[in-house]
Amino acid sequence: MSARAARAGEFALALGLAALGAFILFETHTIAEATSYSGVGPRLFPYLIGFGLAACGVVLAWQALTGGWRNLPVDDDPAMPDWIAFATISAGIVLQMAIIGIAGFVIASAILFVLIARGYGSRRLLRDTLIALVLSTVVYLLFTKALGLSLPAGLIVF
Amino acid sequence: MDTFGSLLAGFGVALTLKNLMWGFCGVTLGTAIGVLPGVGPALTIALLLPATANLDPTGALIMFAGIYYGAMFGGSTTSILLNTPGESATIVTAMEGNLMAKRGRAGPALATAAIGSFVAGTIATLLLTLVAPLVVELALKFGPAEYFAVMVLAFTTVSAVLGASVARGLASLFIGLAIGLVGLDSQTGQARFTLGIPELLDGIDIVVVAVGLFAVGETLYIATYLNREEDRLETMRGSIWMSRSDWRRSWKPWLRGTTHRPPARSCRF
Repeated sequence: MSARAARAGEFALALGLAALGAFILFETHTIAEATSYSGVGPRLFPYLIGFGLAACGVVLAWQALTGGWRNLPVDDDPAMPDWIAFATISAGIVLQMAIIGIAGFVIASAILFVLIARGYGSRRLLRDTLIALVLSTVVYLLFTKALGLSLPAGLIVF
Repeated sequence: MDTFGSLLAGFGVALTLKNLMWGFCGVTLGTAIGVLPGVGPALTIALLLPATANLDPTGALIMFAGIYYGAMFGGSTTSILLNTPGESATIVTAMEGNLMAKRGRAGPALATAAIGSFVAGTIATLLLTLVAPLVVELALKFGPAEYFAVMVLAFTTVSAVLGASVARGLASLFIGLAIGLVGLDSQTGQARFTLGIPELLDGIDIVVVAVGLFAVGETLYIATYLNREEDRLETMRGSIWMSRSDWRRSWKPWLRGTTHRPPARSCRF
């Protein structure tokens, strides 16, 4: 990655931090203020943390603009990032979170497994699906039958 | 001196073959369940409660103790080998132990964790039996000011291990604190940062943060940047036992761990 692109990324991250700090400061207004001793209430620490985050974001943005973040660990062999793999795995994670309530643990985790295997370069879809279903079923049975915890059952009934 | 007498009588009961076997069962089960990320010692004991239903009280308590210590130790296995800490106590194990595992020294890393757990646990339990009344006095004196001072100590310690950049380290600290803000304020019961979502009233669990940070982050990073190279099998080089220099370097941290346990245990109550 070129130095300019790296610094643009750092600047964007720093802006994101500052935006998070500003969001926290803004949201603190919606916390109902309780009458408390010496003015310390549920709003004190959100203000401190929001202010701290915004300050860190500003400092890091300034560092990014004046030559990049200081003291970054040196990467000996930076490879080109593979964004398709990143997108596949992220899709797997988000999909599992989205459908686990409806489709159940077994199906959602099987989809997660298949998409992660795909993200890591496996092209054998049938084998991956079979392994995924067996693995999630075993884990599901271990947690629900053997340990007595509860996982979302969804569409499959045991 | 009756404390000593009772302690020796307790050893006499515990060191019979039958009770040692219950202890062995408990430790094995506890380690097996404690390895699962997110399942900590308390949950393990709760889950394995039915297993002790048919035992006599002494055997049952010995098995519970074995389960507890097994679960406390079991979390270190996934931390060292998979860089996935299961609970908050094993996060530092993940950071350091996984580096050792990557250099082929997973065996000594696991051995250090096991032996350190044994040494510190044994000595700490002995000391706790003898020192408990005194420590309870001290623990009862812990007031809000002392708890706040411990928190400030924790934050300054984090700053000391921040590494190269103070700004980035402080940003991480504040992000962590911001995640901790979500939920109900424990003093006044006001809901903070729940954005109208009722599930967030309980806050964001530490296990969720640990899995997201370590497991998900590591998976995404390796897939994006490091997947081009050939898979290298990190075999365990050298012996799986600890070398002499390992023993020499480890005994002081083991004893240091012993000194942390009794005060921490009393303060929990």
